[in-house]
Amino acid sequence: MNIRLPKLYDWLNRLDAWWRRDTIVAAKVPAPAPVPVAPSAPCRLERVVLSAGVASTLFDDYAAHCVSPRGSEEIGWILMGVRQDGEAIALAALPAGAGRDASQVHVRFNADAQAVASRILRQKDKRLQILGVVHTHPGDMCQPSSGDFTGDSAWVAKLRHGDAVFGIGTAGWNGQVPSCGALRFFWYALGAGDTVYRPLPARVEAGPDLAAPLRPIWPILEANAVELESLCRLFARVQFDRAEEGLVIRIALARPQNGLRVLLKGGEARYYWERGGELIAVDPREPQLERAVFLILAELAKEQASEFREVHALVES
Amino acid sequence: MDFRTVTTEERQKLINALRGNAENNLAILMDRRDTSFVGSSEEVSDDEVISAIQSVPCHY
Repeated sequence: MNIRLPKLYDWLNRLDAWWRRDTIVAAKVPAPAPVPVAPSAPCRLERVVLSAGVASTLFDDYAAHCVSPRGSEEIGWILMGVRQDGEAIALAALPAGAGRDASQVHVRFNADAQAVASRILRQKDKRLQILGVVHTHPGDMCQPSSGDFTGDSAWVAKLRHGDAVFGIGTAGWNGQVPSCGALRFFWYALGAGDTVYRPLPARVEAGPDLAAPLRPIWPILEANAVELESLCRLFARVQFDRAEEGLVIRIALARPQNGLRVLLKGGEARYYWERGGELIAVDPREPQLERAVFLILAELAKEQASEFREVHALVES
Repeated sequence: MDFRTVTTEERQKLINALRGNAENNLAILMDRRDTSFVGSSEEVSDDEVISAIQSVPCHY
């Protein structure tokens, strides 16, 4: 729909004037002071609030990372949550994933898995949005680097609020080995057009990490992220559920109470056709997830077409 | 049918909600019992979130 904003503003102002006139006549009281009608400006970030679950995830993950075989590399997380006035309230921390590209001087997250995880989290709350990025630095460098600024300043300009939270994690170093005794996180905000990061007050409040239940199935998300994202874009009603340390994908079909269920578990995919209350196992003999779904749908379409022909033949006779 | 003059604050919220709807596709919420205006939604679209996640830059 194409809306011409100047015309809309004009219409709103005329509506406002008409309403104000009626108010004065009916109530016979002085008109209220004119209210500025400028669009509400987005609130500037004043602080970040971490749920206790998110704070715990950051420290636990960082500590585990330090003693892992990739402990010398940088690591990071995406923070998801809600924006409320000047606060960014972090309710979920999405890990960089095993498929991250990282070294001692850089980290690029496995964004495909994080994207699917965000879809799963947002099934229950569409207010959840990306709040910012946390990553670690070697040694005690507690500020974002110039390389961070180059990427972040371009990125925040594309965000809804035009700013984001950036966290830097540091660990004390014992010679060449990171020491887990002094893990710290430092918090900053950067807005579009800012020339420097602003230090951001942070506090922790009671609450869960909404992404914690996804941790056991993160390898499944990483292994199938591209296909899952593709299915979400192709089908209007895709629902994700956790089941038996696996992931269930439900794709609603056109007929009522008809759907396709895919169970991803332990490197395997199992397919089921849900027809009414009946659940029918299907083996498409195809290892690739997206292709398997389409093969099953093609078979179902054939079956539905034959049913239609039978009904049609009955009507004709 | 009950007609009531909206307060200044309510009127301002309604205008902001209409602007949010026109400019940012924010939903306008109504009370399901009497269809009165109850605010605007802060819901974010899937595409917006996915795009933001996919475009997170490399960090150094």
